[in-house]
Amino acid sequence: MRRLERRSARRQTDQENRPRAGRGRGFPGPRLGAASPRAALVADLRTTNGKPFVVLVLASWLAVGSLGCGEEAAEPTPSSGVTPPAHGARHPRLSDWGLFRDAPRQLPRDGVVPFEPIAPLFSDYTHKRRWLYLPPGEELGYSDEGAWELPVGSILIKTFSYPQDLRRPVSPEVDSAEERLMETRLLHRSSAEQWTAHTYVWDEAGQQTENKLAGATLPASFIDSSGEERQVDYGVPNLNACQTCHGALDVLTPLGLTARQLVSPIDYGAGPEDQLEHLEALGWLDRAPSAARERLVDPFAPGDLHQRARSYFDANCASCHREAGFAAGSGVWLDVASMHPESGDPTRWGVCKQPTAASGATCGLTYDIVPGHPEASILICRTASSEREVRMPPLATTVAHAEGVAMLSDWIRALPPASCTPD
Amino acid sequence: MRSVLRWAMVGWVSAALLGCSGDDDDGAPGGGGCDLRVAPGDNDTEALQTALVEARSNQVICLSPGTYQINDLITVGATPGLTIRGTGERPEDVLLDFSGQVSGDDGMLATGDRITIENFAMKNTRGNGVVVSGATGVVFRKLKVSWDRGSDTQNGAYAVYPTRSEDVLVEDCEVVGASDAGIYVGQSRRAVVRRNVAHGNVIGIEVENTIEAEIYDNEAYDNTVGIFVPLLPNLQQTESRATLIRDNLIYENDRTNFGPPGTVVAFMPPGVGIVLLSSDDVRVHGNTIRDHASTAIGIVGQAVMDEITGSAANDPRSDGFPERIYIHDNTFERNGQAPKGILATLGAVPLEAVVWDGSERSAGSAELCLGDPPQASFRNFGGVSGVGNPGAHSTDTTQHRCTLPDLAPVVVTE
Repeated sequence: MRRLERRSARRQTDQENRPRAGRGRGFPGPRLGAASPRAALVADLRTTNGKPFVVLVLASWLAVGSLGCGEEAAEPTPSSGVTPPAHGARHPRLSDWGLFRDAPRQLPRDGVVPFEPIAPLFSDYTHKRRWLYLPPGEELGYSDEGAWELPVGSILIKTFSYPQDLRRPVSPEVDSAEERLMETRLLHRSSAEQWTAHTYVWDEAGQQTENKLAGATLPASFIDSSGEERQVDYGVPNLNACQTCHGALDVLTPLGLTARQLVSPIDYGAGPEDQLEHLEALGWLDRAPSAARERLVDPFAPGDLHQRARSYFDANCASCHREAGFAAGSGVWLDVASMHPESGDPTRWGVCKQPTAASGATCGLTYDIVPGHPEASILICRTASSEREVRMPPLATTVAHAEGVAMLSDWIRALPPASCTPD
Repeated sequence: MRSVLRWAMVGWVSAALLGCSGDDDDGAPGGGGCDLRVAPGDNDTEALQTALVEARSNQVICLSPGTYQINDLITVGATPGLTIRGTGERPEDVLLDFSGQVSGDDGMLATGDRITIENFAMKNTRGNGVVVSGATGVVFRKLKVSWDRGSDTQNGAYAVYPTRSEDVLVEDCEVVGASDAGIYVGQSRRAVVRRNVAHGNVIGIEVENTIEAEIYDNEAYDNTVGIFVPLLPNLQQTESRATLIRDNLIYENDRTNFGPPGTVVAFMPPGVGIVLLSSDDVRVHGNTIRDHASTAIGIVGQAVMDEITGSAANDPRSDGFPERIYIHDNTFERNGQAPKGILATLGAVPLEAVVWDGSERSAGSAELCLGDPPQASFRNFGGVSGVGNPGAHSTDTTQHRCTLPDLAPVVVTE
């Protein structure tokens, strides 16, 4: 037990993922708290029959023998490389994954590659950093149009933060005086059959993380683009809520990681590079992207309004509002295929369509979209609302995206008149 | 080697159980017992949500008796085979109280297959009560869902709400005060709704855009409309077909409509036992339908709905005509004495037991049958042009002297 105490003491003084010289190779096993080991075992009974299983079971058994129950285990000590937890287990801290060489500054380990969608999901004005990790030697099943098939062991990483002042540019490396880290979410393809969601909430100093299962509400503040001080109750989703947007975990769909979204060049350290070319050069794509593929646009840069709206919907609405999505039943489909400028049917995406599953959240209006009249369109009323029963999207946002609402209003104003447009 | 490991595991599991008794105390996984237990405590939302995150396929999550203060949407998630069960004697013994809900809208949301939610009560959700979407194999059993403020426009739309699902069973539930429908089955296939009690809602029981449903042995009273079976336009599932409504007790559904303005149900006239809107292959028999101010059974198509709502459906994919409906062997008593809402504007008092808007593609194509000989008093008001013009109506049942074959009972695979 003495060894345990020493480790606990060190844990308190450790900062997230500072280099840990001389700590030796530890066991990347599950957290041995009150509930996780059992969960880990149940999961592995179902799925694993190889070596990790042997290691996990034996180590867990030994650990129970020495620790007893309800006692906090010593933290796992990854020494090198990315070390996901065993399938079904959870790491107590983000640093345990070994994804960052410096997590508080958000400096990823080599091989953890950033990506940026051109039309990002609005999440209450948070700044987001995204990375993809593939296990060494693996490649992903590339598609020009659909979701990519990621190999077992892949990890998608997204960190949410509030810059103090949205009018200032955000530096790639986190400066805790300028920016407050809120949450880092991971989606881990932990087996061929399943993805596992994990989320880590940062302390106010942006130094330590805590694994959360049931979600949390974190008050935060920032200065918005007009210079006004804003307060938000940032919502950390519970892990089951991931499935609402991403689909069930056996068929989970990464959302921002699509060929149509990765169209802007980003700087990997050697000047701006095309994102798909970079991934291809890494050997991560199993086939070459076609030159003729669809490319979305920045919803807030000048250009064709329909294309801007369509790009915005792709990120913010279409994960649910599509034929196979959670909101398919509404009959309002806002995915890029349904909203194709030539082949799409405007009734499908809401033009002169009465809501039939809005549970009363219609703002007293009749149609989802009345071309020419944003003020008469339920879509605008619901995206502009901060009332929970009315607000769209219902997850991941609590405040309206003023810039998004303005752009969508311009788009509706410019739509050609239809049968429900008043004379 | 393998068997050695198994024994090692058995040892580990038993060590864990002995050392930390608490949540695995009775029953084997998948059996009748509880795999995870939640009891009322300091942070009920976190305790229940954590159990549902940690739950594995086919586990039973038991809620011990008491009152739980829930302040957020509970996401059951997509894990298949879950059972969420209150372990009290009666549903009321386990109460999820959402009065302090500060985030989320609905009470509980599940998307996994083979889900059973049973034997507890929920009250005061901001939005819908319990929602299951996109699942195959859904059981709602012995749930009570209500709002303390009674029948109020601010209440959630639906109390028990399976949608886009297959093999749905809703039984022995009590739903009170929903601002749309107490029990709402939407866009599903194979649904059985039985032995429920629905009162104080706008619609007691609604089965919408659903294929193969059987609604029987329910009690619906004091709603605006007792049972509503519509085909609504512009939805993903474009049919409402093969619905059997039998042996229900439907009475005194005269409640003033408190549906939120703009919703379809807010246009429903009070005082109707059953409304069929554009639905096909419906059988209505063995029901007792009594004491409704407007009529026992109203049957309308989309054209009249468009007129009532002042808007246009604009959906060529949905057939807006009710067809192949057979109504027989029901008991009608004291209906239609003081028609309300749109039915008051027809200009005829009293109204007959079955009121039809006459909507059909061509003469006789509706195949609306009242038995041979016809068993119900009847009025065809001739659609929009017949409103306020009773002289243009017809009460002649000659065209409706017919029968249609029975529908097979709906079999739900649990």
